[in-house]
Amino acid sequence: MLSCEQLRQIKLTDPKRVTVGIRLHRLLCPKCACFLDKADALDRDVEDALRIDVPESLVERILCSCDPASASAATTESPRLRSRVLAALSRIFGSRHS
Amino acid sequence: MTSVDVGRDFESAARTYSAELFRFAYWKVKDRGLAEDLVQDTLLRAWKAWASLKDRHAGKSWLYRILRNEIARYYERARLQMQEGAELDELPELGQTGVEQGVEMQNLLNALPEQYREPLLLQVLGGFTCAEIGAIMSLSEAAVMQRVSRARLALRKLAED
Repeated sequence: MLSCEQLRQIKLTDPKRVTVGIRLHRLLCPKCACFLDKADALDRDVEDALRIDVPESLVERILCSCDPASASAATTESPRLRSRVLAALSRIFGSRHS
Repeated sequence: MTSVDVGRDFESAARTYSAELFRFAYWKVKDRGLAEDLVQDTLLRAWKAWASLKDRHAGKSWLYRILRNEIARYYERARLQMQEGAELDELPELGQTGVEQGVEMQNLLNALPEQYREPLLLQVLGGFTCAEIGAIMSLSEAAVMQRVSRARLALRKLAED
């Protein structure tokens, strides 16, 4: 059977790992069961906190700049510069049309 | 593989990984606009070499490596110092940072030194194993295990303080 120290080390380094040994230890050791519950809660909080909102249509903008329709057409132009130029053009032409 | 297949394969990878790459970049630079630019640059760079990628299963790790390089390049350009040298015993006291008890986890994560936060990001956001993180960060698996373990212990300590 895993020692308490081994179990805690596994939980801290690889929290998603669930083995028979871990489940058995949880059943037999109340202190480690409490440690595992706290570790699970902390990991859920960490995961929630890290999953910030992703900008809408991020992937479309990226694919547009990468133009995957043609491998040979891959541009060397900086997408940052390109998107800024496009945004400026859109402001100019957008305002003329409005 | 034809160029159409390469395009489809790349598009599939971009759709699958762009969100997690954005989140990783955001937590590295703390700026949504910049994170978006960095992910865009990363995928553009990847697209240019996508046809030469031999192992499609390694595509995800490869994208993270490119993104890390892009971020490093950005910091080099901006001449900003990353907090690589900081140690866990230098963690600010919550009171010193103006963070109250019951603070959100995002603030606790921000308090972690970069060298501990980054492997945690790769594990939680990227779903990488410690060995894979080691390959991405040029560290041994044991070093990664130590860092993610210490990161969790530090978060736990900060959350309990």
